[in-house]
Amino acid sequence: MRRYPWAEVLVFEILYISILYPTPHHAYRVVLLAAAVYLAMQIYLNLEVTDQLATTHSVGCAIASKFMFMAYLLLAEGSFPDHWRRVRDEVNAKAGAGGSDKLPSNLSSAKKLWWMLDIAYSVRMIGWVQEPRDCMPPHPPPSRRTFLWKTLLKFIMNTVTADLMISTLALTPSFDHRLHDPADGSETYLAAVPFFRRIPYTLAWGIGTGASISAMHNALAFVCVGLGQSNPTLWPDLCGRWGDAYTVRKIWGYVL
Amino acid sequence: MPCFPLICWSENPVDQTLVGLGRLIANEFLKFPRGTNRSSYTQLYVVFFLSGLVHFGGDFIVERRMVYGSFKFSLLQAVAITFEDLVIYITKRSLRWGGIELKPGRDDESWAGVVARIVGYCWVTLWFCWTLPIRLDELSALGLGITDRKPIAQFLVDTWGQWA
Repeated sequence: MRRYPWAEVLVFEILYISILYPTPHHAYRVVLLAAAVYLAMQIYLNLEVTDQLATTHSVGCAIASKFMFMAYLLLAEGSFPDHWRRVRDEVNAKAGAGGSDKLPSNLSSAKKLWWMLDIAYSVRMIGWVQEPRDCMPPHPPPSRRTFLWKTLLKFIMNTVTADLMISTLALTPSFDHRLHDPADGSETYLAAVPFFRRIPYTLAWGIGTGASISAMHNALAFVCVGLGQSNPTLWPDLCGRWGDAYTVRKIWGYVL
Repeated sequence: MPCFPLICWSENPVDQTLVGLGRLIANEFLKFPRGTNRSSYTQLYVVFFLSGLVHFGGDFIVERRMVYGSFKFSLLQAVAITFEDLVIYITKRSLRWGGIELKPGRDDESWAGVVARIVGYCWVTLWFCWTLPIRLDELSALGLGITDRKPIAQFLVDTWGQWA
């Protein structure tokens, strides 16, 4: 029976988070990074593909993207960890004398752990000094009740949209291998549909995929803000307006 | 050097990571000055190459072999952006000679702006009609593209069936 490697993936996740512990000692990070690389190779080369193909595929993408994010944090912008500061730390730092005690490497151990967890999952850098200014959808106002109501409506809208759009692709030979002979090559799928007849499939797939990930983001925002663990202003929309999708640059830069 | 409009690669909020790595390679490793075409387009191609690499990780783990659909799809997006920058530059220059200033955006409701947006929507749709099979077909052949009807659509179909 094929086994999903939950243990390996969990250990990799712990290593990934631990690498981002805000210590100035680079040797610590090098050792953990080497262990993470070894484990990732084990997962890539030895993982048994389970029947849950989408999950297996997302594990492969997630590990690669975590290495990208680590490279970005450790190499791309400035010295790690003190280059990466949260806006709230920055505000507090200005209130104090000099503010150097608010640098990540000078935080207390408990605060370092929270900082580490925070940066490991802040891929969009929202709430950090490094947050991009010119392309993010607007931050919601701080009213919790308004945010929850609007997010619930967006969640319903995105869920219905994703459901209907993806359902239009159901049981079509352009996507579903169950309707093909096992010997059929990949060129017998969407590429086999005449060019202009691909338009409804393309639109349904694009809008359905965008709505699915937005619905997941809405659900997460609703839970985190609803439980009082997060501020509404930290949850701008994930995707931009579809009305801006009139160039390929804009669709990748602003919409998706 | 021609001064292309829209050369600054806008920062996708989700792909901030890749944009940062693109800047590192273009400005720190290759020492291209910021704000130049060399720097912007190097960042553009690096970002899409890295995006292909991330998806390659998923493809490899499922397929157990090297598959290049993700790279091809990602790099084609960079080529499309380069091409459309050139077309926008030439179109703007040509229209300026005719006295028309083109700024297709939310605030431009002139006929030229509306036409530019409609042309843009058509171009983007047709572009993805061409490139989406490159990304999806190999995964669909493996079984990643299974699309059963979702619950809301299934409910509507069942309700419609009872009525009809």
